[in-house]
Amino acid sequence: MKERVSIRPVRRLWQVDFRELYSYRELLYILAYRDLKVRYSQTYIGVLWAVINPVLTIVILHFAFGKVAKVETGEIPHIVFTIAGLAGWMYFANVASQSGAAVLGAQDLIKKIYFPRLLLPMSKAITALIDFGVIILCLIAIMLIKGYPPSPNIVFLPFWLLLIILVALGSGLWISAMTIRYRDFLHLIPLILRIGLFITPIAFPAALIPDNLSFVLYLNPLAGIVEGARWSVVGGAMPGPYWISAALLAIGLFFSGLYIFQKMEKEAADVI
Amino acid sequence: MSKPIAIRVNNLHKKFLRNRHRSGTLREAITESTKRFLEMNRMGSAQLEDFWALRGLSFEITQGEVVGIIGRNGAGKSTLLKILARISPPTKGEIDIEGRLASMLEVGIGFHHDLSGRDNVFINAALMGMKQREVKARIDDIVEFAGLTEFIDTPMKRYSTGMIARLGFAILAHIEADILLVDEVLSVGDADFQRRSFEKMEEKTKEGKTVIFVSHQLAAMRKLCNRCIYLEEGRIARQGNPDQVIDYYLGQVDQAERSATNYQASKDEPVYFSYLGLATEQSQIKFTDEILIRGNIRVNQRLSNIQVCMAMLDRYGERVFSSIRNLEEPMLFPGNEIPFEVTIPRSIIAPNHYSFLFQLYLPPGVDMFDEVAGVLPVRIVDTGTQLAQYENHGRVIIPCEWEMGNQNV
Repeated sequence: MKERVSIRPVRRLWQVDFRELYSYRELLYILAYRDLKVRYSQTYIGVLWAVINPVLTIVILHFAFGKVAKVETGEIPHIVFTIAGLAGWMYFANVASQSGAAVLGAQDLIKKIYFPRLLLPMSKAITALIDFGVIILCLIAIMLIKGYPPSPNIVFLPFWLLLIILVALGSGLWISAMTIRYRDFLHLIPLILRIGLFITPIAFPAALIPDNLSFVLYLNPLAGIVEGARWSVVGGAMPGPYWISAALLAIGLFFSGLYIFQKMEKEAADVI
Repeated sequence: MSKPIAIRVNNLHKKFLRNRHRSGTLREAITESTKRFLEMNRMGSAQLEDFWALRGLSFEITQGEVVGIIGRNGAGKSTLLKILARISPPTKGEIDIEGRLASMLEVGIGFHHDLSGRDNVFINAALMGMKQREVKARIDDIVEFAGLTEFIDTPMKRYSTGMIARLGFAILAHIEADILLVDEVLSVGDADFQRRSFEKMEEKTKEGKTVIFVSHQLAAMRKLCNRCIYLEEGRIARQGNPDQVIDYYLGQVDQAERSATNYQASKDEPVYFSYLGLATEQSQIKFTDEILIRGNIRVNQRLSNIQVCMAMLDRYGERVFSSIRNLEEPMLFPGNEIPFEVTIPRSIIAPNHYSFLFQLYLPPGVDMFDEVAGVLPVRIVDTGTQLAQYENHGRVIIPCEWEMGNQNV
């Protein structure tokens, strides 16, 4: 069967072509492989940074919330509690901060060759999975050392991971689209992420927030998801019904991200 | 039975927003919109910068044809390639492609200098649409063709530019595709490599591949192509036998350089330029002479207020400057033919080749009634003063005062 391509002006509102994306899966893996390979070939600093950043964040959060503020986390050691919360957040932060940069950094590619531009943020979602896996493994190791074995709920982890991917990729797509439109948008990302780190229940339990305010906390879909992911690794109280709104928000963010991204990508090659 | 069609292009249009009014950064966008909000100034100039790079191209290419596309800079060659390569979407029209198309608009796309040559072959080939299985089967041939067998596992940052270009071309040369889009890639590497590249292209054409070529190397075109398409201002000016089309093209270029070519048109627009011409017979104008342009604007419909824009373009189609005038109601009645004259002052435009762009549009940026780009080619010549040296030093000459070596400064 011969390949057949029809090129038409952009008219349809929704034109994410999942079949095409699937046919480009090899390129997706190659792009992810390229990212990893580049990261690990660029001296030790690149690798070191990938380790230092989460470790430092954990130390700071543990010190501020666990030692100074003495946040109560029940029988779960605070450090375990924090790492379990941070794993999902780090995944989100990686994808969100790198997607826009990936699109901007690939300007040359975008102007010279066709491929579904969606692959750029998607490849970041894949490489960030490796960091996520490393954090989870470290967490499990620490838990075993502390004599606090992982909860059997861990079978639900893939479900929470899926929601994290949706939120991360959805935000990554939004950020990429905004970056195509406004080149300086990227400068805002570190600021947003820094705020997000403290308003998401990573180092403190959501239960600390007064009931009448908790809906504000849960407007952030990551709040419910981070709690759910933590529950699946360390156990504890079942996540409340807020996980449903988190899941709906995640799905909404993902699809609106897809929409805005495909709308903006058409412009990318044409801006002279 | 005639041969099957490989590419069918029907009524292809492409509009660019050049130098768009839209801001590229958030900071600009915020200051712009605040300013506009404060001044209540809705005088957007976005429409002013519309630029039609392609204006209704239709052609068919049958399987196994080798077609060369020629034309001056800004005629739409690269735009056409970019649309065929799906890098940029068309504004209007349809294209149907039968078979696997590989676009070779640049060598070494996606190369990363921290990675080995081998890794880069896999990445580049994947971007070019090759499957990993195919790359694995061909990598030895690719490396050998590039002459890099010993270096293929060294990081690319140790390669010379020639080596990188060779590796890039070697990958392109080994791509399995039915249709090849080629843009100037033959001109990489040293003479020996160029000869081999040329042979490789010849081999491809003999294998029955469909090839579309854009190049300034007219000699190579004559040898390789079965057909040439000559583009002028986004339209097909002539096509057919490569020798004839290339000779015609060269004739056009020559003519444009010698005698003044005037513009005449009759359109169905509410208002349009019916005539544009130089006041001089010759298109060569002395640096120390004024440039005088005469034209007619034909009005077909009652309009209240439009703007007329004249811009001088350099050889690459970039604006040297623009001049804009309002055209008011009393003159804008159906049937009127408005004559006008524009004088460009002497001793400002640096010696070089130029042409002009004329536009008629509504001020708030709603409607572009008429746009004529690249007309009235002129050559500003130096009259033996020392200013001849400015030919490649910018587009305008501004008399500046210099003070040098004066101890009292």
